[in-house]
Amino acid sequence: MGKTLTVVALLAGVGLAVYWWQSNPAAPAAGPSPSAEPAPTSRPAAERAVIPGSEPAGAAPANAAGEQPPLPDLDPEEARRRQRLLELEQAADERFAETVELDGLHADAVSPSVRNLFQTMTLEPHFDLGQATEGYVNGMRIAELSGANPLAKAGFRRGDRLTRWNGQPLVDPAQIAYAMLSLGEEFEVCAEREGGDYCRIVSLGNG
Amino acid sequence: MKTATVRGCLAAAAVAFLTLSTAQAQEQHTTVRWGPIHLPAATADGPGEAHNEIAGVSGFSSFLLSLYASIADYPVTKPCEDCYITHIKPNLVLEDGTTGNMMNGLMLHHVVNFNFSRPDITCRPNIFSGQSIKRLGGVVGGNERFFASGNERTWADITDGYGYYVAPGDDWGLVYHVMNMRPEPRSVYFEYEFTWVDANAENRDRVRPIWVDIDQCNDSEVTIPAGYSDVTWAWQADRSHTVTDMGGHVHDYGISIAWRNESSGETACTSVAGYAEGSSFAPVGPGLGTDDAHPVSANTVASDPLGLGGFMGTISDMTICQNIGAEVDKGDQMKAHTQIYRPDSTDHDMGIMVGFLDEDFCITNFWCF
Repeated sequence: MGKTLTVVALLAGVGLAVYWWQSNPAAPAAGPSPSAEPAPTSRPAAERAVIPGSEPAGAAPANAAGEQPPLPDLDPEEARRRQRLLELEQAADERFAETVELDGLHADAVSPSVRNLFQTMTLEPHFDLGQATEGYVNGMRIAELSGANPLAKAGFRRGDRLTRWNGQPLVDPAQIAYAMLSLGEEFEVCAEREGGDYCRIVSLGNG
Repeated sequence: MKTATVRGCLAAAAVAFLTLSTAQAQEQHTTVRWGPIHLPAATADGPGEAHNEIAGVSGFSSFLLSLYASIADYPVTKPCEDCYITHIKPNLVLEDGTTGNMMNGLMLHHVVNFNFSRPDITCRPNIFSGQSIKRLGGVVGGNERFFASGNERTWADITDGYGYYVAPGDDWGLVYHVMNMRPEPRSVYFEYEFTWVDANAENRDRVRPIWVDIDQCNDSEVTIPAGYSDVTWAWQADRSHTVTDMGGHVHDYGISIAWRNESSGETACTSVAGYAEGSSFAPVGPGLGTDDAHPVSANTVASDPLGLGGFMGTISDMTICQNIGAEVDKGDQMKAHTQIYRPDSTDHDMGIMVGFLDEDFCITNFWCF
């Protein structure tokens, strides 16, 4: 019963959010706004020609009050979980970005074969909500992996949570940034799989 | 008033493939057809529309979205997997393959191609956001907008050596607005020609799409007054990259849209609108002409692959920029400039560019050097 109510509340909440999105397309954006700069010259307005049917049947209703829409009325627990994930993601992003900027890390310092490795693989930070620390991650999940990528050839799969590179735990975005500078042509990668460790030597020469 | 399109579960998916190989270049050519899109009959109140209908969502996301949006029930099949797309040429067609355009009472107001398996770098998914595209991404899991076109059928031709990577398992989707001006209901299809190479057979430098929009993260429609407007949208580059290719989309009376690096003073691309000679939908005044991001005039075009007459004087072309090579440093201020010169105001003008970036080095979608 409790689960049913939770699902209903979630449906109603997200439904409301989507309804708002559909019915208020002209609502103000939170990000940078477009700015219409004044015309340099003034021209008399010409008669508007209209191709029959070239205009929409009617303008969608605007959010006339210009108010921010209400947040989706998610199940409180689900809402907290999603919000927390966003916060953790943002904090980890910032730690990585600060490291790169303040320490002057540059792509030129990364070997071509490591840069090539990421042409066909994308990682994403993973967070265990129960034990997450602000600014840190709980491993890196493989979000995309081509069959041509050396990790795929070593048996890794999309969705694997990588836990260590060359023995170093993947928890600190700053450390992960530095690790990119020191990776050689061969290194050990470990992932969590079926409750255990799956470790393999990855050879970039095979990529 | 949006069109409430109610679909029965009997609507069948129709996806057709035609794949040809060009052995020398290891390029494959695949034509994909998505549809049918069921358009109601036009009435005295206006055209029959599929207005911001969504295709390609499934499962729980589809159920949620179907409560309040029109959801198409055909799959948005990819032309390939684990591959690099190098060329995209869109079209809107009737069932017999005839191009749908103004002359036969059809208009492709816009179509956006999404990869729901990746976030969008200028509009990250966030269910709590007040912005529609962010919320869509929050529901479906990602909202990378990798291509778009309008009735002018802007295409993408990615510079040699580069490609847009399609990962195994990526989920694609569409959001579109299509109009029927005839008094009977009709079914139409999107027909896209893709050129691609197998990622396992050929190395390419991966490019990432960037969506530039004067109404970023929303429905892309803005109110524009009569007269001249230079509508802008700014973005601080969060990654060092090289812009490889770009194309633009503006509506009738649009002159141009440009992507300019305000930090370096370099314009990466100016996409200029084209109209037939004597068009009554051409801009009614000049652009600024102050720099290459603000050309003085739109183009007058004499022909079009789809038949210039089919556009009945509406915008028929946008120039695209290839092999750009504009380097952008992390932190640079980029800005879109959309020049429009209208005879009257409108509440649904657009200024969009879709470009491709060769990133210096990224580990995740947002952890970049």
